[in-house]
Amino acid sequence: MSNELSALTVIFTEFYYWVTIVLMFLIHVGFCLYEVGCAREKHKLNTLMKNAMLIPVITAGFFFFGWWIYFAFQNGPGITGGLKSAPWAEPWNELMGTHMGGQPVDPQLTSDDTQTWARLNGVFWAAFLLFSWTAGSILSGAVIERIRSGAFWLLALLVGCVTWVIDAAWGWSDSGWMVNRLGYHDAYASGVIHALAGGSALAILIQLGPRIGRFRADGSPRVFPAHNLWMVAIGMFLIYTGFWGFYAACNVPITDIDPDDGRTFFSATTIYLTPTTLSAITFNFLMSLTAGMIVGYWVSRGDPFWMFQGGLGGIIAASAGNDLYHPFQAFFVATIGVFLAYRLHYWVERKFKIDDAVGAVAIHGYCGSIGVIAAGFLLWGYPSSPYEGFAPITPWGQLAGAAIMFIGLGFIPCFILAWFLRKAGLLRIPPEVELAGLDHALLDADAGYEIELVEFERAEIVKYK
Amino acid sequence: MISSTGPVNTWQGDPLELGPLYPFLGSETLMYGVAVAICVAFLVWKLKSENTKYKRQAKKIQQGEEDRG
Repeated sequence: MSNELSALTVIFTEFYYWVTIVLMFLIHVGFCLYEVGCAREKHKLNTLMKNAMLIPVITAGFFFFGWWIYFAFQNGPGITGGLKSAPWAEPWNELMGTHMGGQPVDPQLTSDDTQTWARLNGVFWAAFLLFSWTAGSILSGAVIERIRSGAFWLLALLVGCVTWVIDAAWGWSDSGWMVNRLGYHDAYASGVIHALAGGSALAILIQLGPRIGRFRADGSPRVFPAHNLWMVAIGMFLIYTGFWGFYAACNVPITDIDPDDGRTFFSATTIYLTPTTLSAITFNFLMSLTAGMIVGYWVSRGDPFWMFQGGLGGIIAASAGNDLYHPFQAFFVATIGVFLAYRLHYWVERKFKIDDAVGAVAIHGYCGSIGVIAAGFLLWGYPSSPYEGFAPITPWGQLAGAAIMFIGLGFIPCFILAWFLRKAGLLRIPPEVELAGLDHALLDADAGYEIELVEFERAEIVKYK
Repeated sequence: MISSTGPVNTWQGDPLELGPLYPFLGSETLMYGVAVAICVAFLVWKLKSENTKYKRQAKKIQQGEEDRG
């Protein structure tokens, strides 16, 4: 901060991430609208509260331990090294508070730490945190109308503050062991957010079971229509809008990428510090959105739900390689991803009686996994990192990565926690309440209030007659 | 000089010397413990109260159905 160029770079970076955070907030607004719109009338308030309260639950957890996990677990630990020291991410550290970057009080910190993190810690933390909310929100839509909010928040805490953060440490950091050993590449989080959250949602859905009446006696599914299609549509548009912020937040906006110490070449990079441009990712974002909307519309014969979901799935599928793809490649990957995800959704629903209320497993889990694997073929042989000795991108590295995300860190931990919650009788609401509606008690209270009001008004009229 | 709750007594010094600015420096671990306790207590309360609420609601609905029946 003591010369003009470094001050401008740092303050620009600080402001850049701050703007992405505000944009990403719209993802959560969109998820809330979308999810409540999809819920039936009798469940809508509970659905809103379940998702909205995810914000404080995950934020607290991410401050208390999530941020530290991201730095500490990059080597596994035990694969490419031990636990990494990251004092600036410890919740009691001075760099988690207002700091001007001068000499540290904490002896664990160096002056380099304070200069780097004083202005960037909070905005980096919040950018990651908003990804955590997204991971939690993906689960939230899938399980509506029958999960208990307390159980959901515990599961969201696991995904938003532990499992997604571990996978980000492993596969979405410049020195994560998956990048180092597998050449894992996932620039805009097809796997680390979407495949993981989709796998987690599938595990919870298996433990939770379908909504009462969702499947007929012959096993065929009933459609539970959304109670408000406009909320669903506006919610999806807001998720698209917030996704721009998400893409920008996945980049480092300005850094010297020239390996020669005597020269400088400033560029935006991915989280792996490999070069890309905002221009390129803007092309690819819109071309993958376009392909997803077209395929979603075509494959569902014009169903608005799948048209919107297809757009989102298209972006998710192409995201792993959207830093390097040509827009046509983004378009093709999105096409394949959304087509396969749609088919898989209905096959899984009929075969295993999985009631995914919003298609979250398909759009996030399947599209994300397909996207990670597709990047392995399209980017085969590309360096995964600017550092020497890191494995290049390969189909098998990406396949292993997709499995780690969807199954290893997505499905298995949530399956275990949801199993415990089910056994403890804390996972699902009683069937009587489910049939009456989760807002039943609230509506009863409203009805009581209205009766009381009518009685009061009648008494007043009698008094003045 | 007025005693201060934090490490700053003046903004006139060298900015390069300025480190943490928040008050009660050194109490972070204590604050961490209190904040964690509040959040854990909230989650435990939620799980317990939800259990009670749903039991009561299910019973009420069952009774209502029996009365109607």
